[in-house]
Amino acid sequence: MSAAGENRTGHGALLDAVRGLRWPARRAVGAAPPGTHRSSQRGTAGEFTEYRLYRQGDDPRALDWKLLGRSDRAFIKLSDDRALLTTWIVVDGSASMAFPDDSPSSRSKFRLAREVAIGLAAVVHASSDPVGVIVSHAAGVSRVPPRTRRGTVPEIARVLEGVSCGGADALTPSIAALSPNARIVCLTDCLGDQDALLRAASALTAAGAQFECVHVIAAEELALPAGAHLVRDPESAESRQAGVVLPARDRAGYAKAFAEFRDATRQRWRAIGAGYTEVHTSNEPARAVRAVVVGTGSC
Amino acid sequence: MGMAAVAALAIAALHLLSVRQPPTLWLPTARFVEAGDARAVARRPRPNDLLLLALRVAALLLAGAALAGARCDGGGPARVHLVVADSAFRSDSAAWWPRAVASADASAGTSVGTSADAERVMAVWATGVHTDPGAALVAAQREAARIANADRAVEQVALTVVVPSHVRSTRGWQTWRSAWPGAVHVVSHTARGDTIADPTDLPSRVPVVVQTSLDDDPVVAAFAGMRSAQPVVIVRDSVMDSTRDARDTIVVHWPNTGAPAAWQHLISADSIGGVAAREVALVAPFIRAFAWKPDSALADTPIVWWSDGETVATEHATATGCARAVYLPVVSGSDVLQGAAAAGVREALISPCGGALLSTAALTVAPQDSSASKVAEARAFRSAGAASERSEPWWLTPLLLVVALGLLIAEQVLRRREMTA
Repeated sequence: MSAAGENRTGHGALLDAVRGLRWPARRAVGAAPPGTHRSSQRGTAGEFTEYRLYRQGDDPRALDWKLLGRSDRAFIKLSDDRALLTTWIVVDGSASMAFPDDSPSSRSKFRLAREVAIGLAAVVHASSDPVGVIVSHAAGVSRVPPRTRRGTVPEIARVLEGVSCGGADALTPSIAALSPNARIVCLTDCLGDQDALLRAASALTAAGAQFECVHVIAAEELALPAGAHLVRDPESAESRQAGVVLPARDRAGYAKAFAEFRDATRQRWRAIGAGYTEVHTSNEPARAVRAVVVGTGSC
Repeated sequence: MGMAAVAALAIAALHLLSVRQPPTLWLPTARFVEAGDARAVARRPRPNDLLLLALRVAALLLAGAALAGARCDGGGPARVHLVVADSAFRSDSAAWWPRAVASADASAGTSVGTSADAERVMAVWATGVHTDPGAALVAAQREAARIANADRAVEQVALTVVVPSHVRSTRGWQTWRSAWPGAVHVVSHTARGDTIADPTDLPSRVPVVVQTSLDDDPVVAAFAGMRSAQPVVIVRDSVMDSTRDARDTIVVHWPNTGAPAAWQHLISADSIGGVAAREVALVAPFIRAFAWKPDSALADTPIVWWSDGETVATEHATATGCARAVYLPVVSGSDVLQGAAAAGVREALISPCGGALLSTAALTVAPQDSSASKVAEARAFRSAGAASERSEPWWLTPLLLVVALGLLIAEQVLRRREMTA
C-alpha cells in the first residue's frame, strides 16, 4: 500500500506492523485464476513436479515427446498449480460488539474487530488476493466485494468506520450466501446465534471453504468492573427489561461459566475444521492480526 | 398511644432510608452472571414518599388513639380536691368544712396553671379514721383512682384529711402516707366529748400508787418504781369507793377479780391472745369473762384494747380530772405486765388525762421531701388503677379504627399504583 493510501485509512501504524506478512491457505485451493496459493489442480506450470502415463483424454500438449521418442512410452509432465484465494472478511457489528464504550483507556470489541479486519485485508491485498468485507450493523449489512485493485484497503476501512453497532446478530444469512471457494474470516464475539453460524460455517467448510473464526473478547468481560451492578444484555429483549444483579463479590461463578463457554466455542469451531483464534481488546491489533495469520489460536 | 407515636417515628425514620438500585451495566456476557442480591440501603436527607409517610403515620396515630381510649372532653375541672373525714364527723361537718375548703383554696392558689374555677371539692367519708388516719389515705387512694380513670380531664388530685386530735395509732398513716404521690393537707378536728388536753409533755415526777389487798399482786410489781405527771392511784379492790376522788388524782379502777361496773359478764368466757395500747402490743394468753358496754352518760373513751378491738380500759372525765376503769385479768404471781411489751398498757393507764391516746399534731407537719409537697398528678392513679381504656363517647374507638383502616387501604392502593407506574 502506498503512503497516501495509509494516510487515507488512518491506520498507518497498523499497516506498517503487518507489512511483510504472508497468509498462505491452510489447504490447497480449488480451481482459480493463477495466484500465490497452492492449488489442488495439476496444471502445466513451468515448475515440473512429476510424470504420469498418458491416459486417453489428456491434453496432448502435455506429452513429453522426447521421452516418447526414446522409450516409446507416452508420459505427460505434471506441475502444481498456483491459484488466487478470495478472502471474505465478515465483521460482526451487533450491539454486543459495542462493549465496552470506546475511551482512551479501553477499546471496544468492534473497534478491535475493525482494526484486525483492516490489518487482515492489508495482508491479503499484499498477496494480490481479492479481499472483500461484509459487516452487519445497526443499519443493516454493508458489503465491499472482493477486489485486488489499489485502494481496496482504504475502501474497506472507510466502510468499516462508517458503521455503528446495533441490532442482533445477522451474520448467518450473509455467510451462507458466500461461495465455498474462498477463505472466510469471521470476526465476532460468538454471543449471537452461534448454532446457526456454526451450521452455515460447517456447510461451507465441507464444500471447501477455509473458515477462520476470530473470537473477539473484551478485557472487561474477563475482569468485570468492581461493585454491584444491574447487568443487562444489549441483545436480549428479556434481559433489557429485567436485568440480572451482579453481586459485588463472588464472581467465581461468572468466570467459570465464561471460561467454559470460550472452551466450548473453540472446540466447536475446530470440530468443523475451521480455524479459531481468540483475541482480546487489551492486545494490540497488529498482534491479533499476526495471531490470526499464523494460527496460534489466541493472543 | 406512646407506642403508636414510637412506631410513627420509626416509620418516618424508615422513610429516610432508600433501597438503592445498583448502577446498570450493559454487559454482552450477562447470560453468564449468577443473580445475586445487591440492594444497598442509603440514607436520604429528606423522607421519600411523603404521601405514603403521611398515610402511614396518620393510620398509626389514629389506631393508637383508638386503642388508648381516646376521649372527647367537654372541659371538666382540671383538679379535684378530696376532703376525707371520718364518718363520725359527718354530724358536725359545719365545724371543720370551712377550714378544709380554705385548705383547698390555699393549695389552688399555690398551684401553677390552675384556678379555683377549675377545681372541684369532693367530700369522702371513711370509717376508721378515728382509730388510725391511715384509713383516710386508703379511702383517698381508692377515690382518686376512680376519679382519675373516670375523668381523663382531671390532671391533679389534691387531698385534705380531717383527723381527730387524738387517735389510737398512726402506724397506718405512716405506712400509707408514702403511697400518696403528693401533698396531704391535715385539718385537725376535735369531736364533741373528746378530751382536748394534751399534757404529754408534762414531766413525770409522782410515783404511782397501787392499792391492793393481795400479797403478790402482779400489778404492784408492774408499776413498781414508775412515776407519772399526775398522781395516779390504782385501786385493785373489786368495788370502787365512790367517795374516792382526790383533786388532780387519776383513779384507776382495776379490780383483781371481776370487772368494773361498765363491763358485763359474758355468758361464756373466751380466750384472747393480746392487748394493745399506745401502738405497743402485749401478746399473752388471757381469759376474758366480761365485755365492755359503752355508757353514754359517762362518755367513756377507750384507751386500751384487746387484740380483737374490744375495750380493755376506758377513761372518762370527772369534775377534778379523769377516772379510768380496767378489765384485764392477770393471774397472781404473773410477770406478764412487767415486760417491755406491756409498756403501752402501763403508760396508757398512768398517762395524764387525755394523754392515753396518740396526738395527731405531728401529722400536720409538712414533709421535707419536695415531691410530697406538690399536688398529686392524676396520671399516677391512672397507672395504678386497672380501669379499662374505654373511649368517650363509646363510638370514638370504632370510628378511629375505621378511619385508620381506610387510611391503610388508601396506602395500599397508592403503593400499588406507584409500583405499577
